[in-house]
Order: sequence, then structure tokens, then C-alpha cells
Amino acid sequence: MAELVFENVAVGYEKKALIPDINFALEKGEILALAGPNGAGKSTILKTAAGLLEPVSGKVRVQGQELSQIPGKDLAKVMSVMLTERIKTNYMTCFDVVRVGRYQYTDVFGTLKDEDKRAICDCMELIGVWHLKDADFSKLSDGQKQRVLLARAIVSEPGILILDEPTSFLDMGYKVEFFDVLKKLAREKNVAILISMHEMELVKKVADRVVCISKGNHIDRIGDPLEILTPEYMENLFSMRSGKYEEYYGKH
Amino acid sequence: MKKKTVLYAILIVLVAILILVNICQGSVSVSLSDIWSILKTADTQSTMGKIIMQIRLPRIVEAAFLGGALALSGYLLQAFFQNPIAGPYILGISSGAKLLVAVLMVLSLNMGFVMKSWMMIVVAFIGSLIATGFVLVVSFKVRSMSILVVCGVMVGYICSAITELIVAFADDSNIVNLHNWSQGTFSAASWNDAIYYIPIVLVCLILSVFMSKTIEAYMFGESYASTLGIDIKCFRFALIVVSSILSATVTAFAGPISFVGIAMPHIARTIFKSEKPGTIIPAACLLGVIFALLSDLIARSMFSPTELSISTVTAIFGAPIVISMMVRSRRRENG
Repeated sequence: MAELVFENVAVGYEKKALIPDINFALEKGEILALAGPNGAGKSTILKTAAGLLEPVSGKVRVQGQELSQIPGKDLAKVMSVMLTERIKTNYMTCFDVVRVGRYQYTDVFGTLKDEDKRAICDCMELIGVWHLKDADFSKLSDGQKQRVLLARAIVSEPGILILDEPTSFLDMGYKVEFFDVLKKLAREKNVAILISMHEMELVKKVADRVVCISKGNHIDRIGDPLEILTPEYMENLFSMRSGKYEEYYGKH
Repeated sequence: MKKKTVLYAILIVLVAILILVNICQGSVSVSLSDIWSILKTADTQSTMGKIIMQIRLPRIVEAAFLGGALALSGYLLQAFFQNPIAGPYILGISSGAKLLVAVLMVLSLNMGFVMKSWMMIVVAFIGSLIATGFVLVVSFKVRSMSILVVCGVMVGYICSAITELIVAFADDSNIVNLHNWSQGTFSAASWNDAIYYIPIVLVCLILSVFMSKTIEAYMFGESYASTLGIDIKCFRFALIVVSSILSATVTAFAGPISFVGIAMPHIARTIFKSEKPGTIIPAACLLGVIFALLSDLIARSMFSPTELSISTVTAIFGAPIVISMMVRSRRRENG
């Protein structure tokens, strides 16, 4: 059974469909990338998948159950979300930020059991932010913040991970590291990952499948990124002049 | 961990000192040995015993509980609006409560029924909710916190103006009482009121402690809180209701008191260098107790026998704190 299924879903705001006819199934251990130009509606699809937006029509299923029927606290245990929204804190340490990710596992006062502490430590080490555990979150660079927020997202050990442009502030080195972690999560822990990204070269390296959303707000193609994402297709998807892609990114 | 314990200990010692000073200080000064002998013999008959047991102690208890309640009410509002510049007084919520209580007072005087404590609380609560409702409508329309504060201040002015108008038409002999109360004062404290506000404040405090984990998660914003499985509507409703009950209770018994609610949580965050609700809720409450006791001491002894209204004192200390908060948050926004 697929972890996350979109069945003839139309997504949008206030009952107005922005993107119609979305169909895909995200399997365990798979990395599915949403790719497309700015404003195509990648975030809208992700918000719908996360249950933050109601689908305008169609059905979203999580582990076989219809998303709208799953109580919030049960959904939070299977699915974790990292958004582009900025988090404003004043005196929170990175450990505190990650700790909040254990929300559904701690008691009413948020007391950490040994397993919670271990989970926090493990995932912060996995992401390479354990040394920042006592650092003030608000004083970190944007890139460091993104890595701490990824740790926060995976600390609940979710089956499904939804990430909205998670690497926009990371430099090349950290980007590579970040995607290595995602691959590890998918391969070793069987996490199903739905991620939006706009660096097409990275999509090819990271994603098992890609969903291309065109500027006209419709799903253009779904499939193996290496087959789909040819220079000609990308010029088309991003409305670039013919030959421009190769001029900048080289032949692939 | 250790630092936190030391800070709590300091706050508790300050509370104890202020309670003692408040008992001793006044138009009749009482020595520590007097207090001891009165407590030992449970003397409520002598003049000294009456002063302590019937006047000063109830006043201290009221200032302490209501000061703590105000700080907590402010903290919950700040959590609700996700902004440190919020409080029951500055958002006009206390004034809404004040207006309805004044109406009830005048009605009871004119129609000749005796106003009960619970009636005041209920009416103050309704007034708080109406003012809060107005502030909420504005907050959904404009996202800017400064406009919200300006709106709150305006609501406060309107409510105060109408209250003054009502007071002006009230029965002569009772104007003085009404006027004192509408400015904010602990001078009318009695043990009869204490049976109402003590349980209310304690229950609200316990509820807040139970909400502290969710308050922390909510600091990350609505979307994140919602993906953590929090029922946002339910949680926001609980925050507003508990906060309104607290500020309504304070207003019903002591009138509107400014700046305690907005400034104390801020000071708590600054000295504890923490945002953990589990740490800040008790700290803000203790600071509220200290601030109320200190302000009341100044209000009644500075120009004795004339008493100042409590808000006169709290404003002198509180307003500069709020201004500095605004400047700092502005600076943060700009870079």
C-alpha cells in the first residue's frame, strides 16, 4: 500500500482549483520531487498533502485512510512537515526547537523520556547539528536554521516526510549533505519523502521520481527524472529560450 | 537548571519581604514582634489585630493574587497573538470589563439590589469578552500588531469615557467608591471577595500550566502547530477564555490595572533567558505578585494619608518597560 496517494485531486485556495487532476502515489522509501517554476503551485500541493489545506476535489489518502478522516494527533505521528515559514524565537536553544518535534510522544508537561532524549540526540547527530544544541536558535544563520528544522521534522520518526524547499538557504556542501541524509532516511528507514525543489540538477541526483508542474498550473509529466528532465524539456518547463539551459548548465 | 532555582528563590524571598513590609507599613506602624504575637494568639479583637487581620492582610492577599492573575492573563494573550506587546489593559479588555461592571454598579444603586461578588465577575467577564471580540475582529482584518495596540487603546478610551459618564450620573454618596474603583485600587479588599478570586485564579493557573506544552508548540506558528496535531481552534478558544476570566476577575475586584499584564511576562523572559512556558508562567506570576505588592505599598504610603490609584504607580514603572520593548522589537524587525 502506498503511503500517500493523490486521487484526482484538485488543489487550491477557497474552493478555487489552482491545479486540477493530480494523481500520484508515494511509496515507502521513495523520494518524490515536485518540480516547476515559481508560482506553479508546488507549495499548494504540499500543504494539501500535509492536511493544512483541504483538497478542492478528489481524495488524499495517507496509508490507505482518507486524510480528512485522520485525527490530527494520529496524523502527526505518521507524517512530519517542514515548511518555508520562518520561526521567530527569542531564547530557544536548538535542542528546544527539536524537542518540540516530539510533541505527540511526550506527556502533558512535555517531559522527555529516555527514548525521547535518544531520538533527539540521534537525529541531531544525523543532521550534524548536535554541536549547536545549546546555541540560541534565533542567532543561527538561515542555513543552520534549515538543518535544525529538518532535525525537528524527523525527530518524530515519521513514515512520511513533507519538505517545502528545504535547502533554499544551504550552500553547496550542506545541500549535498542534506540530500545524503534524505536518501539515507528513504533507503534505511523506509521513509516516504515528498519534497519540492527547483534545482533541476539536484532533482536528477536525488529524486526517484519527479512530478513536473508547468507554469499553466497543470501536472505536465510524472516519471524518472533522468528520462524526463532533458535540457529541451526544462527550457520548456521554465519558459527559457532554446539553448539557454545548456549554455548555463552544460550538456547532460 | 541551577540558575533557574536561584532566580525562583530570589523571587520568593522578595514576595516574603514585601508581604512583611506591607503588613508593617501604614498610618499605624506595626513591628515584627506585634505581628508574631497577633498571629500566635489569633487576636482579631484588639485594634492592632483588626488592622492586620481585617485591613492589611486581605489587601495583601488581594494584591498578590490579582497581580499574579494579571501577569498570567497578559502572558496568555501574548501567546495568543504571538507577540510580546499584548496585555489585557493595553488591548482595551480591562476597560470593557470596567464599563459593564460600572453599569451594574449604577443599576444596583438605582434599583436598590445588593450587588454580589459573583455578579461582578460574570458581568466583568462578559465585558472582557465583548472587548476581546472586537480586538479579534480587528486582528483578523489587519495583521499589524501596532495597529492592534492602537485599536485596543482606543477601545480603552471609549469604554473609560462611557464609564466616566455613568459615574457622573451616579448617586452622589456612592460616587467616591465608584470613582476609586474605576481608577484601580486594592483598598476595598475583604476576605469575602477572597473566597471568589482565590479559587478562580488558582484554577486558571493550573489550566495554563496544563496548556504550557501546547503554548510552546504554538510559538512556531499556526501551520507548524497544526501539523503537530494541535487543534488550533480549540486551543485559541481556551487561551482567550482563560485569559479573559483572569482579567475580568481582576477588574471586578480591583478595577482596571495597567501594565502588569504586558510587562511582567517580558521581564520574566528577560531575566530567566527562556521562553519555556513551564518556566515563564510561574516566573511571570511571581513577578506579578511582587510588582502588585510593591505598587500597592507605594500607592498607599507615598502620599499617606492620600492614596494613589494603583494604575498611577504601575504606569510609572510599566510604561517605560513597554516603550523599550517596542523599540527593541522594531529594531529586530528592521534587521
